[in-house]
Amino acid sequence: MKRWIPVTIVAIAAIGFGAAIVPTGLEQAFMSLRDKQYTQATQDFEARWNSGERSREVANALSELYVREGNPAKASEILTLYVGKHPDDQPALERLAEIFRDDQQRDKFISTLETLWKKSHNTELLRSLEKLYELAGREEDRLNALKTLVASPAAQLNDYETLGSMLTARDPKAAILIYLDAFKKWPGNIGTDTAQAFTALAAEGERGDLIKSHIFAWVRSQTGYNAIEAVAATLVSKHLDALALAATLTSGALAKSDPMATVLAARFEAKALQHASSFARLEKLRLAGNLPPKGDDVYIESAILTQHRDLALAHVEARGAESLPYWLQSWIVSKAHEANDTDFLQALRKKFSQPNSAPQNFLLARVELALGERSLAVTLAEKAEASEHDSSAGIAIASLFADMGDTARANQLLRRYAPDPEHVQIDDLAQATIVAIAVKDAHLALSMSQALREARPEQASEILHARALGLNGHGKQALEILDDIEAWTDAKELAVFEVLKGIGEVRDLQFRLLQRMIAEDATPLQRTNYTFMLNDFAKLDLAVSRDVADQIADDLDQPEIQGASRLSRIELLGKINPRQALPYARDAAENNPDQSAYLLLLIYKRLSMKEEAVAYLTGAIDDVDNEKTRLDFLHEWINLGITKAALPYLRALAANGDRQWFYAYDEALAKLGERDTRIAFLADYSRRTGLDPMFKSQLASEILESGAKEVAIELMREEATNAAPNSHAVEQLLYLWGPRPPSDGVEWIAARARHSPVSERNQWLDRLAQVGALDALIATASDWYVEGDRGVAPKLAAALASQKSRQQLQVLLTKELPLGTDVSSSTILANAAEDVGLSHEASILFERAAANNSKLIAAAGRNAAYAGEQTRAIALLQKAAALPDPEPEAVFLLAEALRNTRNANEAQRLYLISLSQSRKSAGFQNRRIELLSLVRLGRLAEAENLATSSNEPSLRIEYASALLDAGQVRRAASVISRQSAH
Amino acid sequence: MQPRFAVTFTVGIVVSNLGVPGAMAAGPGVPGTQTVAITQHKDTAAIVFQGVTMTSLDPTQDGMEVTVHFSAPIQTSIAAELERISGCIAAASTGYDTLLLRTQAPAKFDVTRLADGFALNVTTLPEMGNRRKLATVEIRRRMLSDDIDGARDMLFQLRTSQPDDADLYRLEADIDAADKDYRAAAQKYEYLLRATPGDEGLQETLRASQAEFAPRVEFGLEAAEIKKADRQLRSFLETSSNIAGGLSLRGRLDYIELDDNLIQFTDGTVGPFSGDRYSAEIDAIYDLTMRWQGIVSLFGADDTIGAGALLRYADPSGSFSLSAAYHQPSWDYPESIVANGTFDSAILNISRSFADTWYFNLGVAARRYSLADENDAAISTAINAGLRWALPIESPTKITLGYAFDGEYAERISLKPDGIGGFYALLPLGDRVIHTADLRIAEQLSQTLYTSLSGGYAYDMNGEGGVVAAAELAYNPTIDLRIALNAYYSGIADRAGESGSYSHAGLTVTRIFTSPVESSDAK
Repeated sequence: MKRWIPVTIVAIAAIGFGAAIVPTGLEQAFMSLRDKQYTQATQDFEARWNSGERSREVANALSELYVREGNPAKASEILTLYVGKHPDDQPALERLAEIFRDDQQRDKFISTLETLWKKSHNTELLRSLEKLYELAGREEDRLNALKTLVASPAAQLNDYETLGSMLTARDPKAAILIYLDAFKKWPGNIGTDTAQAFTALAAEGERGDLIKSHIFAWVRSQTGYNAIEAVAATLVSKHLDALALAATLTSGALAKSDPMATVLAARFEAKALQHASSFARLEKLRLAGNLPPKGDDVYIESAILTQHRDLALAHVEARGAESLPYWLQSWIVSKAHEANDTDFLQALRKKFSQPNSAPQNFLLARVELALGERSLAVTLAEKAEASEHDSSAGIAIASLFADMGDTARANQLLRRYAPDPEHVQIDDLAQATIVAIAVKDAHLALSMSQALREARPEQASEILHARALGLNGHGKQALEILDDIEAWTDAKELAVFEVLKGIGEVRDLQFRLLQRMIAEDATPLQRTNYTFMLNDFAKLDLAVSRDVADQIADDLDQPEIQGASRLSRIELLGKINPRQALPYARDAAENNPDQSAYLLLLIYKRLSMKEEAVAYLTGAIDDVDNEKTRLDFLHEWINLGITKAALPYLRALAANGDRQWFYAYDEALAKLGERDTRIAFLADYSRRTGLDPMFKSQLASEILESGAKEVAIELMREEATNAAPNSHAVEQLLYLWGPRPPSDGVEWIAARARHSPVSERNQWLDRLAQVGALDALIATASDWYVEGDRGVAPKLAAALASQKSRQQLQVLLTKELPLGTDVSSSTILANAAEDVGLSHEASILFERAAANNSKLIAAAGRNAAYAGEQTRAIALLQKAAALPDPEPEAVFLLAEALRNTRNANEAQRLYLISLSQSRKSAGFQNRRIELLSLVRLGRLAEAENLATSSNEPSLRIEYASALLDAGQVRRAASVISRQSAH
Repeated sequence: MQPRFAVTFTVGIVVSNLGVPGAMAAGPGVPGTQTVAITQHKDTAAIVFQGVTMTSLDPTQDGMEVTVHFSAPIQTSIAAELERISGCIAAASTGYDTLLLRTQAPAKFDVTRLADGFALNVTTLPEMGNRRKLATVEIRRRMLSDDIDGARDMLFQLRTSQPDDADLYRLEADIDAADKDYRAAAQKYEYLLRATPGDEGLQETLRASQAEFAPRVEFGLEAAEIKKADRQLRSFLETSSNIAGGLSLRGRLDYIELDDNLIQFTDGTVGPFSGDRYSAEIDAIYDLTMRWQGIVSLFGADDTIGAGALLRYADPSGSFSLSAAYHQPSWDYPESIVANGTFDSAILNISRSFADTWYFNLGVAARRYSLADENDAAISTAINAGLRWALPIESPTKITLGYAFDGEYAERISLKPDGIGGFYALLPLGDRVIHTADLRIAEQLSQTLYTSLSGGYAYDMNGEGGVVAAAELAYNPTIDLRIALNAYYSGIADRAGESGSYSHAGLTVTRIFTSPVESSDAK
């Protein structure tokens, strides 16, 4: 027994020890994990998790195993459940955030971080969140995050900058304050972007004081060119050129004589028309050899404008055309052209008289174009184009072609070198856009301008974009953009007017032009341009304020306003207030009638001072030396209402052969009622040699219009004297004569016919037939006729038939029949013979013609029957009756012939056929045969009904005749009596 | 200087092309408001032109064309529009300021002025062709109704206006033929044939006319019997021929066989007789033209010779003849036949038809018979008259009702003593009057066969009556051969003193010697 006690103890101990050393489930799971038996481990941990164990170890291990398996969703699920139970377990939260981040579940990631932020208030975590908000586009959350950051002691400059940037659009004032704080806190660390942004905000907020106090200080502290460039560009974009200049002048870079800053300052000075200062600044730089190429344009412009043309030229030469970008070359030439500096251009032409490179060719082309030598310019441009394959050059050359008016070529080049914005360098975008607009490539212009706008967000880009929009039909949108630009620059002006013209907003355009006329900043030159533009309108659609007229009058009172500028103003004033313009116009006309008389006349016309105008013209026309002026006088005289006094002048001009003056004189004569003179003039004129036939027709037409038909006919007769019968001239003459010409007309045609060459004879005969001159036709054709004449005989026969000249026709046919006429002639001759009752001849001819048209055999038979040639008629009619769907008349006549030869039965049978055939179709002839057949068949009641129901008198007569044939004399008498009563 | 005002200086002449009507129509001076409309009735149309002014109207004589002249250019579209909308305009064309209209039928034109234009009134004239056709039909009708003069009158008018019209000439020839002026007809047919030698119908018509006066030989045979009296068989052979112009000669030989059981001879004896006799006649026939004919005859028989003359007028609706004969052989009575008797006579005959419906005839004769040596054997007067009415039915069959009066009155009869105290008449002539009424049906059975049948009743002055019936058949197989058969029966004898019925049957064959008509091969 006792033995069992130790055994039991040992056993219990062993079990206990065993139980103690056997790993638990968790231990087994970790053992598996350690042994890299991940599958087993996963199963083990899942088993535990599923059994409700939510320990950190299990959650951590299982989530990691899931991550390892590539199942982050399950992993995050485990951890989410875990942190739900253990919200304070920050590492678990962080791990969960990591899993969300790696699984790209941004919102859950942000949410997890937000939970963490709430627990820790860690600014770094907040910065992370700010970045995540940015990524997620959660502006408000981001703004709040930034505001929290800025308010925190750990705030950084970057936080301010970011917040300021964000607030710029939402709350500019708040943004300014943020930036101001930044300037205060980190005056030495402010970046260019922040300075630029602050500058823009301050400018928009019209806080020049802040710019001066903070930005000027800032640029002064910056010795790099980029700083002042950025600020200056921002100020320029806000149209604060003066501030830009001031900023530049105070900049640290300029103080350090940075060449680029110097150029910038010079550019602003030039823009502010401080050309001397600008030139001096740059000349100094140039002499030191430090003038950067980017300053070339300013230097040359200021040199030209300060009369340092030689220096400018020397600089261009020194640089060499090859060194000057194409745009600059264009710019140089345009500036010289604008300044009307022909000497400079001539000098340039001389310098590059032997161009040996594409840039030189280009430059010279520009010069020649500016000097008005377009053809030379084209040649040079083509040379430049041939040797240039660079995109920038291509665009510049395209621009040149566009300026030369060759938009097709310009477009071609543009398409080749700038097919889309991606292929264009940023520096060339503006030029490409301009060319695209010039060649009206709307789509390309828009895409270019959009790219330009993005690359260079400045006023010039906006203007170009607006122009491109206008070109694409988005005029209103374009105007909105342009109207947003406050300053009125030349470019804007161009764009505004271009867009307004494009969308047809004439009133708006006129309104803006008139506004500009009295704008304070408008220069006399601009006003000159405006007057030209306003004068281009046929009329002004707006009530023009007195201010405009007064402004114009003021200008006109300035002695320096001369030439076209003056005339244009007088013209405009003439439109606005003619009476106010009259003294100026009189004065101008007196001093220079060649140039100004038209204005005076125009104003006279407006003031309805017609008599004064004519008096002026009458008195002045002999005094003007210029032939063109004289012509213009006459033009105006015509417009005012021509008087007899003008006729000698007009006649002299018309006599010179000038078509326009011919018309003028003609109309003057018409207006003045000089009918006879006019007709004589037109007739004389039309007899001139070398006039084209169409014009002669016009003259005849005009004479006709004047009611001088006989004169017109005489002219046309002269014209048609030697013309062929089918000629235009003869056609016209016949048209004038009408379908039945007078006897002299017929004689004329007959005479022409008689003396015509053989080749024209038939056509003349046709003409005679056309005008119904059958006697003349017969006489002429008879003279010409020789037996067997295939041309003349049919026409002669037809005419004889029309004239019912039976005997003459019989004589003709007697000659023709033995000759074996052709089928075509036979038909014509047969018809003619039948028309006059020459049945025998008609029968023979129809039989011949039937060779081509079997149906004519019936006509042959019919005529044989009429000729009493029964035997022949029967033979022919039997053929005709044998045709499919035979003619009723042929069958009837066959029956008649057989009846006459006492073949009564066959005749009866055929009468039935002719009856049924005739009833198949409508028409008089069919009714006639139906009627005759009925009578022959003794069906008199039907016949009577048919005859009496018909509207055709001849049918009833036929009926009466048939009744007589049938011995129905009394019935016939009744029919005749009734018909006679009709 | 900017020639601004030059913009308005575009005087110029509008380009137009005179040769292209369309361009001219659109050219200067052609108002855009020219319109045309039409109002049409049966024979009239009013063509209303608006926006134009007419200056003159120029119609042609035939009424088939009219040229309208305007004061201004006329739009060419007017012509097309007119052709489209008008039924009476066959064609229209324009010139510069003229419009030519061709009508479908002859028309009369006149103009009515309107506020903004004018109306051209077109009145279609009765078509000349129809008028002519109607006239020719009427002429034919008159001709067939025996109104020859009426036909000639109408034709004369037509021929005056259309003297060269071959159809009218042909119609005139037909009228001549209907008027039995066959020579004139034939002459005309011959003339026409020269122009249309191939006209077979005309050839036949010519032959038909020529047949009427061509040489001929005619033979006739007739058997007659009076019941209870005598039987006769007669035949004749006659020939005639034109010898010059309007003179023909005719010769005739008659033969008769008589069978009579009881006949009174000239010596007063009575006995049967069976024997034959001959007679001959030669006529000179003069065509006196104008439907007049004169015949001089010479008669001969056994021991006798006589002469006669006849003047005759005949037109299709009637005839008149007056004849006189001296010693003309008489076979009217058996006694006369036996004794080679003759008679002297004066006879007047008239016949007339009225509207092809009523037919009237009247004959008056005075005869003096000679027999044997007695020149004054008997004198009689005779009247015969007839009235016949054709039933008004439209049928190829002609039905007529007739009444005939046949009376002979013995004025004087020479009596001879019979030797036994009595007297006898040389010629048993007595008064006789017979009234006959009959119904006759006649029809041209075919182009070659004609027949008639009649039946009726006759009674004489003695109250005796009897049925009468007759039949006739004529067969003309060709133009130059005619055969005729006839038969007659009467219940009473047509000779005074006889009481038996009378019947006879006869045959006539005529052979005409026409000369062939020359025809040429048209081909």
